[in-house]
Amino acid sequence: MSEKILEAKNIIKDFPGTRALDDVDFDLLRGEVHSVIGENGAGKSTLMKIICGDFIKTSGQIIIEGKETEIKNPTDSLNLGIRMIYQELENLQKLSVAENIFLGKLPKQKKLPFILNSKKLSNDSLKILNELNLDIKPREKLSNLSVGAQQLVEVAKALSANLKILIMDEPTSSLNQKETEQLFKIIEKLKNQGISIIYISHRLKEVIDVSDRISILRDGRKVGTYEKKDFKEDEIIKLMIGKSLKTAGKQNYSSDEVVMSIKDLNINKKIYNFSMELKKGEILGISGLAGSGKEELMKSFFGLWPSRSEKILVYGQAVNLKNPKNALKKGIVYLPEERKLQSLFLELPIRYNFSVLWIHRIYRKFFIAAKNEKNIIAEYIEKLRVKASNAEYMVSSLSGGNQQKVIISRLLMISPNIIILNDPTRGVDIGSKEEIHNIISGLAKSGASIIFSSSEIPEVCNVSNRVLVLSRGRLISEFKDSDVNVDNIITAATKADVKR
Amino acid sequence: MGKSIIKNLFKKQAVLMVFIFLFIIFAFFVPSFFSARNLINILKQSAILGIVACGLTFPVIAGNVDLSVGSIVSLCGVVALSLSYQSIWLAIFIPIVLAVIIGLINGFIVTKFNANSVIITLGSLAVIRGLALIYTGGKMVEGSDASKFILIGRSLIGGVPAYIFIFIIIAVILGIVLNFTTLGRFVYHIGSNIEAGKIAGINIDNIRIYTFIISAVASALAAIILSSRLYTASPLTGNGYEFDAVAAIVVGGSSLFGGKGNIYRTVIGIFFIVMVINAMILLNLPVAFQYIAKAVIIVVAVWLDIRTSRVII
Repeated sequence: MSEKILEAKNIIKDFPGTRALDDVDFDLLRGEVHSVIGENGAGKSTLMKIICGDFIKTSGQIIIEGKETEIKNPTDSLNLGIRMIYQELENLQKLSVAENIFLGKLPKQKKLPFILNSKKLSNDSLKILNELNLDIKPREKLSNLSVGAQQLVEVAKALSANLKILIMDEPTSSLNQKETEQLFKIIEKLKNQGISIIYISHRLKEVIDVSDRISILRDGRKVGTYEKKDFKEDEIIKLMIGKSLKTAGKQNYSSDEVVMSIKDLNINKKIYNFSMELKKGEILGISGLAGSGKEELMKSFFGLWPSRSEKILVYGQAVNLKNPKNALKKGIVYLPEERKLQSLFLELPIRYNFSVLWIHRIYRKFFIAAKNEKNIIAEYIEKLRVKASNAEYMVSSLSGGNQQKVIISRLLMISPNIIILNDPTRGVDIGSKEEIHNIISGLAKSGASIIFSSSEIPEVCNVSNRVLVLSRGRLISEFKDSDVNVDNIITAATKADVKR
Repeated sequence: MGKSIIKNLFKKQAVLMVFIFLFIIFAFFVPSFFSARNLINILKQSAILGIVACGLTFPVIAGNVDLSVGSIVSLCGVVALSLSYQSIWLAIFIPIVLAVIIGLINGFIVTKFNANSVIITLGSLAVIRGLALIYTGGKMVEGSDASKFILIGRSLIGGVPAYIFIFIIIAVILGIVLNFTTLGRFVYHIGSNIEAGKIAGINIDNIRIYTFIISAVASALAAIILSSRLYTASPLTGNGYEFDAVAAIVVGGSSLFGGKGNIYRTVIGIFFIVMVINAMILLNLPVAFQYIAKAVIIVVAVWLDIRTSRVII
């Protein structure tokens, strides 16, 4: 029988004006994977931050290996063998993989105390990477790796001599299928070494696959803990959101009118002769495995990646999508996949984050009338159900799902015709995810056209009317209506991959 | 809950609180501090530097810095005074045009070459002061006795120098631009997250150039007032203004990393520094102490900035 390595009892955490955690109990056995799930704002991040020393609990006990301890800062937590891997990448892009893995613990030369021992650094990193079965070179610059590979380097970084508890926050949000399997194998290995893992994710199927136990938080309270033998998906969802999930029936609102057509778009070494037509009211999914060029293609639609095309027409007019300004002028908006790096102005008020597009695309006057701005923001807070009590607070105070809703509102405020969504529900809880899907459907119904991409193929299938499948830079398949399903897409993508 | 609101207020207005605290202490313990004459002195000192610092606030919030402001003051000062012999309007107009051009060049080089504004404006600093030296032949310039130019710096309104009111008006105008216009809004966005700004279709280059122009023009206005007040100008005037202006901005609570700050904070910063130096002079402390005091204030301000940015709750 495994012993309890961590016990959190009666944890309460208050912030000015709100109680984020209300008498929460949580325990972790040695060598187990215990997942914590719940909607945004349920308190998962807060609980983890308390365990990691980023926050200090208002009251309650923390018991590590049978001894009651106070975790007052991140150093205390590290010394106890607790490490956390974050959802949004914070590692250092300009340094090499090896330097990232050994950040803060770079090996020094034996005889020369201040000089880096780069050979040892390389070798030690290689050892860790090999142990984790990762095919990544230690000297590779981090920014050259795919986002998924960078995430796996984060995992490597967390491994160290003293590791007892590893907390993973949305670890698969940037990983493709293959990388997710690698991650799960790594988790198996860690379990066998007696390391315990707290796993936080919105992907319920994944959580059910990988966990020994699942605990559910809602509104700051723990509402249930399940053992593996008792996992039942609908029950768990019901506990999470307090109601059962309605499956949205997918409607197709596409008309015959072509709003955007692309002929022979080429991206150097990434995309070859891509052509497509986007219909009014349609939700077009773009799918492809890693290396398919999907990311670069999505970016090129908004002028964020250099491309050359024979012809691009928007509403019948030839356009040159060479930068965001051009695209915005044509009524095209874009939702980036990494909101912290590419969408959010973290230190600025929520209000600024809402209206940045509106003030220069719709309002267009030199002086900003506070009243008009407040009104339109209030309108969208209501429409999209954004939980923001005061629009003057910094946007960094909002949960991930609400931040995403702010960004989506930002785009919708300028009444766009063509909406490009690059992984809009990444790191978003199930409740908000469903809401975002409904929003997308509503937009199509009102005549907007949507280009949609997601790291989850099932989601692409749920949302899109039509799906284009890319492989190695070429468009290889197109599926419509009832042919849009996971099997077809994966078969098409992998078959083309193999056929080389 | 009420207690935490007061705590938050203190955190947000920390500098103002310290300022008021010091003011009260000085009023009681520093001889002659709390006299009308001395307080007006503090206002006079703050006004000129304040105009420069308010202008500089724009590039700083956008994530850049303009170290050439001191040199701009000197060049525009000598030009303004030398033109006072021609006409008062030329004496005002030409320096401003000069400043716009300088701001354009600064902004252009920083944006088109994606260069570090510290290095570029350091270069401008040298070049512009060189131009001032060439223009004056190394000599001091004196203003024309026949001109009304002197009125700018020397006239009084209600016993208080008129240019203090000019400072207030400029500060208010700049504050309005920063808080209530699209341009001001974008300055914040660029300072906070350039990548997101690009994706939001903001013309990063243009906004940046505007911030350098605003900074330069503010320096020109300060120069016109200063040269009118002293009625002499030399290529060495304004030497070190960039240091004081940046200090004021940092002390006031704006972040040198961009995205945080406003005119109000800068103004408090200027008053703070001027007041402390003033107190030191009244206490007859050696000049060296003033430099040390300035340095200590800045270090503490930056430390506070870093501490309050990494909130540990």
